[in-house]
Amino acid sequence: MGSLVAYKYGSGSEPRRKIMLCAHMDEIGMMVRQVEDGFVHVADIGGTDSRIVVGKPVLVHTRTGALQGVVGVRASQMLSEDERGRYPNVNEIFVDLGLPAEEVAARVQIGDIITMDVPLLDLQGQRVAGKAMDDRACVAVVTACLDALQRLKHTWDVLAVASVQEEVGLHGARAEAYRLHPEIAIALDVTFAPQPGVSGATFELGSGVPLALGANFHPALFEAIKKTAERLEMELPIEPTPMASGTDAWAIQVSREGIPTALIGVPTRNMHTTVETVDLRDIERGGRLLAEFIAGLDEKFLADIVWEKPDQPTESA
Amino acid sequence: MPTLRENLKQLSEAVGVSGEEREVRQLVLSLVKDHLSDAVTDAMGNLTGRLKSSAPTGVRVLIGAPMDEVGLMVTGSNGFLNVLPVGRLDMRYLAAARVLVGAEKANGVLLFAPIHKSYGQNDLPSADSLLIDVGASGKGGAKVGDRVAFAGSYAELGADVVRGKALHSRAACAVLIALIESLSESPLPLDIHVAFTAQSRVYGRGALVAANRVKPQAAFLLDGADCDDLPRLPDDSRLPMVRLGGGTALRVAEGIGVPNRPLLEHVRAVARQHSLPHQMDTSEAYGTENALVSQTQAGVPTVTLSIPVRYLHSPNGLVSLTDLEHTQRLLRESLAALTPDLLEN
Amino acid sequence: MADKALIQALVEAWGPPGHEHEVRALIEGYVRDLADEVRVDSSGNLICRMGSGGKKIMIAAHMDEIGMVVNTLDKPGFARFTMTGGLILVSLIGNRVRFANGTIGTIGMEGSALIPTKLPTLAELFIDFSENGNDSGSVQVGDAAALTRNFTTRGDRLIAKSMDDRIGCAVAIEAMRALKGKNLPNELYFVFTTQEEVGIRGARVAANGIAPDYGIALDVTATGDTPKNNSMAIRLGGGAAIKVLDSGHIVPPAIKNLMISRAEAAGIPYQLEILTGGSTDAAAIQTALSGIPSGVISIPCRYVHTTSETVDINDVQACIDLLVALLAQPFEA
Repeated sequence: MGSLVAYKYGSGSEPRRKIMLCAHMDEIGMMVRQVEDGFVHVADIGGTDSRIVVGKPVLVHTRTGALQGVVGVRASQMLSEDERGRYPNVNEIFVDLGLPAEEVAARVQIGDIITMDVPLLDLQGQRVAGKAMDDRACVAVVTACLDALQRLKHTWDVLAVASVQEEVGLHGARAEAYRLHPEIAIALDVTFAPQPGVSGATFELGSGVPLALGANFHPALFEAIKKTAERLEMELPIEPTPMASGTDAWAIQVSREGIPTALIGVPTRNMHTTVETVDLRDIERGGRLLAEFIAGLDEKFLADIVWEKPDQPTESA
Repeated sequence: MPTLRENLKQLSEAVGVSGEEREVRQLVLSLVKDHLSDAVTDAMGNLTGRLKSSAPTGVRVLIGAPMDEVGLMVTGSNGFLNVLPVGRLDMRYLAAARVLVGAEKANGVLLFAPIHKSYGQNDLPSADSLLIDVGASGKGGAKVGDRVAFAGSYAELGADVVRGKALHSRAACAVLIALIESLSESPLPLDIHVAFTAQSRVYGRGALVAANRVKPQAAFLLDGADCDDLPRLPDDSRLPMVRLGGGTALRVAEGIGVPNRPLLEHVRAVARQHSLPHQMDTSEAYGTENALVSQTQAGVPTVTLSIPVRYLHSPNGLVSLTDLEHTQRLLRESLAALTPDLLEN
Repeated sequence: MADKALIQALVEAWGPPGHEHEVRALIEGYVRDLADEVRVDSSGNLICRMGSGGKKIMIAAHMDEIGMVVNTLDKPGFARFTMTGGLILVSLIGNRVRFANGTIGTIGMEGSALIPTKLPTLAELFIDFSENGNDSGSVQVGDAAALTRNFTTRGDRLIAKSMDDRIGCAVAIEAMRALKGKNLPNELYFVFTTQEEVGIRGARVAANGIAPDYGIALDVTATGDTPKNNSMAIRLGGGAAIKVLDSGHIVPPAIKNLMISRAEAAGIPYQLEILTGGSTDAAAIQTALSGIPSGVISIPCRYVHTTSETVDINDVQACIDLLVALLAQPFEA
């Protein structure tokens, strides 16, 4: 489907066990729905928030290259009574390319992808803001993990997946879990940091990478990762997630005959906006935690994380 | 000599929130000081001066262009910065906006609760609920009173249209700078004074003071006009009033004052005579400089020439360079054809 | 031009979700001599293989139509129902339904017999199957029904119930006819699927069983060319619709571009489709197993999910031509 898989082979003897790491590389976006009088009307892909795109720069990716533009709305004096005092919906916004209508019609095709055209922004401290931190911040965690594993011995194979189409239904992770058929999996996705308007469990930027606990995750795998953090004396917040996690972990867990799955989060403010804000220390810490956990995986790990051992001793299994 | 295009980019990217226009003013001064005599930054922060190429015996004319842009001011902090608006903000553009805080232009972002937690909350926020995150906990170096500007993303879209912030004032500045250069090369027999005005977005009060100092016999003010040549609702069959690329917008109405009719008709006649595109703008929605300047002394004939700007209130407006060039020519030709009898009622 | 008699037979057949046997028998009659192998799988999908070797391509068109199942009996002669598929409630009042045994029912709404003054809810609707004053119940709880209406034409427009998706079935059968006897570079599986309208269930099972390299669904799409309708750029008579995206499926660009280039090379009129409500069999095929790249050729259709679904015969022909152009050559996405 287009997911990227990096294989980092372990030093164990074949057949080696496999752990899948999975962070999605797609971002929410828009698509050209219609072109009229030089204006590009848009459709949402994956949950773009029409409230936050207005007035922001975009790229329309055409067959002949990307065109710069801006997301427009009707001028305030043009608004109907119903439109005043509220944000526009996706049908009320459009992309303005500043080009003659004929040129727009010739170059832009229905279905062309539209992305936000904003650079990464350095904030004070170790914080950065940008689009697509959901979930590139976690791709960065996986990268940091692979980098740390260069200096650690590990017996298991590591299958690092940058998955596609998470935002539209976890499709990439579902396909890769089926194809790769790993013994265990750890998904990574952003989670909420505190800010006004965000209720429920939140995790301050820079306070560590929360580990999720709930039906979507294998409790013994959860405990094993927690122990790794304790060994490293690393702070590890717990994110209670009673039912669906809404992440790649949800699709991976039920692949084939079931895969013990865990989820690590990166605290993020302003999720699904162009200023998703994360702390680089969390990314580094997450990478180190993953690498140390993987380095600790041994032959008997799978036997260690069974729920219980009915009837017979594990050794004979 | 830098081109109109190069000046516009620099002007757009400079920061000058109303009441703190220093950076824009210093940029403008560097571009025009060779052409001015007795340049003054007055008590309001206006930059005024007389063209060296002026004819002292000619009609005394003031040409104005605003320098400032809307923004925010820091009022306090409790982890995130509290702010209040400077100028009239269109709240539709503020969600998750990028901003530059204080003289150091520290990067900041306006908080916006994720859609997962705020789905269906479609009412625009009140200004006092806005919060800025600069990254560090605490104020992160920001002081109460710091001005906050919206970060634009300047770009040339195709051959004619540019995208950027603060174009409603900076396009006017760019036109005035081009006019100053043109008048210096080939002078007109007029006593021409220019004012790059402060605080246009705080009720137009900078221009009032500039006019009091210059005491002109006639005033030509440059500004930006909000385009409405945008997709409409299916049952809205009204034609657009101001089109991007449609030429200079001439203001025929204003909330608290009307333009000088003879002067306006003069500009229209000049436009027709020289086939310069222009459009009549009856919007009540913006600008008060015209009203204030026209009421100085015993009344000053004043007219406003506006450059069409799409998304005027956004950090990424669009202007047409052709509109800027046409406006500069229209202003120059209008000055060239100006006779004293036109100013006698 | 496309075979109207074939289309008429298909759209007038009865086949609410899970009860596709009548449609399947009809199609089997048409395809038995066209395919190299015909089988029916556990979900009731009719699977027809043509050719062998080369890339395995699954072409799916669903046999089922939107319908309803009786869930409660009311006063004698009246039944309440649950929906199987996206019935448009406002279009139902006064419409007729057919049960498996041929019984015709009429849909009515609670309240006085005067003109309803508000939009109906499902709970307010019923099926009237009364025959006389002493009804004993020819309809039972659990019985399935489907809307019934005859096929008709108006110029190039073809109007019927169940164009969704018998017109897709017709496109598939016509393509099989065109490909019969040709030396096929691909191994083709024409699959007439079940239970699409209730969650794309048949196609998922078929894809798991066939494990194709690529999938193509044939289904209807809505249009944006009626008064005060600016919802999408598709128009009736504008050619075959090549899907870009719908609410359940993003077509891989390589598949979309292959369709575009084949259409352009053969001079087949086409338009690009973005559908924001609904999806097709391809969404299930694409996410089956470890992911099967899939595309969709859509037949533009007005008034989808009503008894007057309207397509243009020129669009139907363009879809047939495009499908044949895709399948008669090596499939290189």
